[in-house]
Amino acid sequence: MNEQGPPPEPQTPLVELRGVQLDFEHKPILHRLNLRVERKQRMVVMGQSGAGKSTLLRLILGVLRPTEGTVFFEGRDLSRASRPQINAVRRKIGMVYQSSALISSLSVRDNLALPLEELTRKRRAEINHIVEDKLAMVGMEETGALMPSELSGGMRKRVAIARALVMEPELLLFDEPTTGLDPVLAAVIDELIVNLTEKAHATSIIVTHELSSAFRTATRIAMLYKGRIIEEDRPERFRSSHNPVVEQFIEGRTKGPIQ
Amino acid sequence: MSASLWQSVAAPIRTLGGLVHLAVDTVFETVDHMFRGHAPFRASLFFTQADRAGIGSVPLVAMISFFMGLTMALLTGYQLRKFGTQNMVPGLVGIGFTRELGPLMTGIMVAARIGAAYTAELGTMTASEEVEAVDAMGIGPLRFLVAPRVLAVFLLLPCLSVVADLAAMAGGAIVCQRQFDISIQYYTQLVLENLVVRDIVAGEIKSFLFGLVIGLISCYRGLAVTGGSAGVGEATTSSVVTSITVVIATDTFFNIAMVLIYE
Repeated sequence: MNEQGPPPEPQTPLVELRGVQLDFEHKPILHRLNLRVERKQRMVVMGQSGAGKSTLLRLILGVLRPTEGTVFFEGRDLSRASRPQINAVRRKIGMVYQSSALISSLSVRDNLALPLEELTRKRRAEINHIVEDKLAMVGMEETGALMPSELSGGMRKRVAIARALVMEPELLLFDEPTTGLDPVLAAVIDELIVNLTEKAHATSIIVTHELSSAFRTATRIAMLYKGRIIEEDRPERFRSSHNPVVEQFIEGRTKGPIQ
Repeated sequence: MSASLWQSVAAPIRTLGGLVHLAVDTVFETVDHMFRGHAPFRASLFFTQADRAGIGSVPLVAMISFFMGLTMALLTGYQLRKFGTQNMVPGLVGIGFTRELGPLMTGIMVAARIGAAYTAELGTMTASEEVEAVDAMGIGPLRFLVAPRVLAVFLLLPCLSVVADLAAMAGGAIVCQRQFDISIQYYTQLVLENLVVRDIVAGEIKSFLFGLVIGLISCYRGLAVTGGSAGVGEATTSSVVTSITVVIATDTFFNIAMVLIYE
């Protein structure tokens, strides 16, 4: 596989995990997991805390490698890719962390400019234009000079989304994007995710355990339980699933298969 | 018993392996980036670190070395005066600091001041997922975060050693003038007569080695942080202890090698 790789076939899903097993200290975190994410989908992966949802995103980013199985991005196998090959793929992926993970020593503007300065040959004026444009998209155009420590949780999330968009990625990954936010702010962030991914013609994978966020943002929902995807469907069909684990999770019951 | 013995042997070997891995990966990432036609890293990042490690350390290094030079001249001078050989004090201070104490004390001070700062900074970035975010963007955290820090301390430590040598000799000169009637001019002449190029070169080579060791250990410990703020504290303590121990061990092995080669 060369760095760019052959052009993907039209039917190839953007992301595919096939028989993925991931063990930590001989304990399985993910167990023969299969998941296909088609282009322009907004796939929400739900599951309990500690179910391995964030781990799933790290596998797609190539930060973690599966113990067994394969992770494909545009039909290319990431499980056996070299570091430069993985870096080339990462440039097509934007990640929004639960903690926002903005570089604390850089201003908001410099946080957004960082990937453009480090990975492209764009001129300063063009970089400034892109940064201001993305900040405006998330309604943060007045905050460019501020440091991350001067921002509220919701503002940090917006800046993190803007940073994920600057390289115009094909895939956006969101790790618990609304955790810790009030319901109104959570709805605002959900709306941003939907609008921005549609505007950017991007695909997104959102991991969350918050039902309202999941149903607001998803075009498909998958349920991760005991290391496997046990149900995957359109939101309206997922809501009426008869799978006892999904039913219990949606209804928030204490009794059932989830202990 | 045997398990704990194995642990105590395995841990330093694992750390050594990790340090070699870090150095090789940092060079690989930086060279790979240069082959793509980019600068190895931002010049501003290097100069910021150079300012912290170098300029920022000058007052501490100069002050401590000045007092040490003063004390060394005072203690040796009173003993040598009994035999009427106090004229040996300038040479003792000059050789002692240029070849041994200047680089060693600078290494220890920089390990405590800059090594701790590097570990705490990178450790906090690791704990708050900032390092992973840099990696996830495809930027290469070793090239972006480690390379400018290690290079700054590697290049600046020999300069600080020179500052330490000069400050210590200044301290010695004051004592010699006040207590042993050796004028500044005569003191300078005696220092220059006793110092040989080999002493200066050996001191500077050691300083480069200490800089490399401190930079790598402090960055390695910072990037290996687990367990939030408590982990950052533990890593910082461990970084300073390891750096100082390795600096002293490197100094010992270097001196043994020099003796074997030249004596």
